[in-house]
Amino acid sequence: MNIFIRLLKSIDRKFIFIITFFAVVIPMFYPLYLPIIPEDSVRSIFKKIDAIPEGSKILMSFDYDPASKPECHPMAIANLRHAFKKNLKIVIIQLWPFGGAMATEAIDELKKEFKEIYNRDIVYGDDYCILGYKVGGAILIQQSGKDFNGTFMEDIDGKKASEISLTKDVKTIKDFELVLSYSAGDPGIKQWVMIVDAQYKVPVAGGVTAVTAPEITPYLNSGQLLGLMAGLRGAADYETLVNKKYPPFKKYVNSGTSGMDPQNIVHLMIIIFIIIANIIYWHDKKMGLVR
Amino acid sequence: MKRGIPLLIVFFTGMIWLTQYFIPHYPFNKVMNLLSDWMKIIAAFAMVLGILNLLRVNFIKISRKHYNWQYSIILIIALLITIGFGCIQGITENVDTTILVYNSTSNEVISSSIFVAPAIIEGLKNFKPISSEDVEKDGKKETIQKGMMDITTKKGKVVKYTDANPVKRIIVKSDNSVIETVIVKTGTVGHWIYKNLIEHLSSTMFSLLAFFIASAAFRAFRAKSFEAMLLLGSAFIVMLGKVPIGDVFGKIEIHEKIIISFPSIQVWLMNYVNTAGQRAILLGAAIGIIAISIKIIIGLERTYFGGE
Repeated sequence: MNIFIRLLKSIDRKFIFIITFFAVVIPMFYPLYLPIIPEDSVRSIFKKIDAIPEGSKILMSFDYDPASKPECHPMAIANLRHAFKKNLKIVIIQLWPFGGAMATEAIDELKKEFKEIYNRDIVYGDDYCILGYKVGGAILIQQSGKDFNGTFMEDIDGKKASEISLTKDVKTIKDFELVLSYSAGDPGIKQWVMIVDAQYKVPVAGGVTAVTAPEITPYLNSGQLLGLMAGLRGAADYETLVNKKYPPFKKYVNSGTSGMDPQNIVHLMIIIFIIIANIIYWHDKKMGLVR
Repeated sequence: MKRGIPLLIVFFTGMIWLTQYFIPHYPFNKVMNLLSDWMKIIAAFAMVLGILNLLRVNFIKISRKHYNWQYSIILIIALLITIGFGCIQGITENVDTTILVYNSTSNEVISSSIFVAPAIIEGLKNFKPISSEDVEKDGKKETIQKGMMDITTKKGKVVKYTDANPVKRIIVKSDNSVIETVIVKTGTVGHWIYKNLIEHLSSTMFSLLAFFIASAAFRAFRAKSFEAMLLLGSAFIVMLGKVPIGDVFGKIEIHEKIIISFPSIQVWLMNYVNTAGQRAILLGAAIGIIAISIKIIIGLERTYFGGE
């Protein structure tokens, strides 16, 4: 018993780092292919986008940066895939400085997919547009409820929003069927819920990093938030729903789904480490080594 | 007087802002719009102020040779380069697209768009092949040549494209005509910094979290008390319930609507226990904000003036 405990005690930080590394890397090469059962909060977003009539406008707010890209980017791509397939018109804004770059990257990826699968060109100005970054956060959201083009005046290339075919007729935030926010903090989904849903009655949904999900869940339960994708799992859920309805997308990169395998193993590994640590703790307590 | 005027400004601004929520009509809605514009401007200035403060703090650190003062030099240089190029060139990636049918025998452009044709011809003349491969497209065999070329864009800049850049490809058909798809991406320095430095450095920092969480969980997560045990149990359930492996451990069906499994308990924990706690925090914070806001508006709370 003592040898076993001594062995467990010899586990140091470097060993944990090495195990974590392999727990992440190995499942990438040898996937488990465990079935993903989408959560209700994600299904509701899918149903809503699916029910929006073709040609309607939706607003997507890219409120994250490269640091939270691994979690927020896959869910944005999954939503964009679905929205483009449904021929929805997408206006993208950014409350974070790097949001526009994130959106450009996501759409560049999708342009290739749509060309290959459906021989369809995703056209800037007709299918989507990306409006430029402005400081102000919640104030911008508040103002966009009264004068959208006056708030987000130019796109990322400096073209006036009033001259872009997609945005020239947009007067207020109420002209959108749905607002989706991919949020890694403040300003983000919380502000969209508090202002756009509460004051302008436009449905709000979106995705957040796993760590912020508990903070946002109360808005979901109160019905103020239409749906929520939490972390990489949320992205995997949405990808599953999209791939089920549109199987050709299966062969492309589904970062959420492929990320589930490393996450499965790492979560298990962390639980095992916590159990080991507690075995040591209970042993030491029994022996009177700790209080 | 020195304090009286700021207090009056705060009082009137606060009251107007508050009133427009209850009376969203003229003139309060107009004043609200005006104040919102002012707030955007102030927010922009706050960013400038932040940058100046960052510079000041780091210059002091360098001049006094504080611990790790060398990093401050790197920070200032990086800040100035990013701001400098951002102000001069902008930070976006300019993308122009054209589809060009070019006959390489007669050196003639059959059709083109966006670009001025002679500029493209000039570019094609400078084309240096690097590699080629045969591909089948729509049942026909085509040779794709990849190479490097200089293109004079419509903005007059010369941009070099390499084989590694997937945006450039030339298809030479068997009849010697060339169908070329050129997507010209004229990257700015700001965009290069973002694409090659910020994106990767940020992702690296985020990725390291997994390692630190694993290590911290091992070293600190002990069931020392009943509360700690509850926390530990909840953590296990949420960690397993949030990933597909949670379903592998099976489920117990008590009733049609009552299914006990890791995912279902996780959902219950998040929707009921977590929501109850979060709402208590949110309501507490909101009441606190209301109280402090009223104190600021009526002038009881003056710490924002600064000083002693």
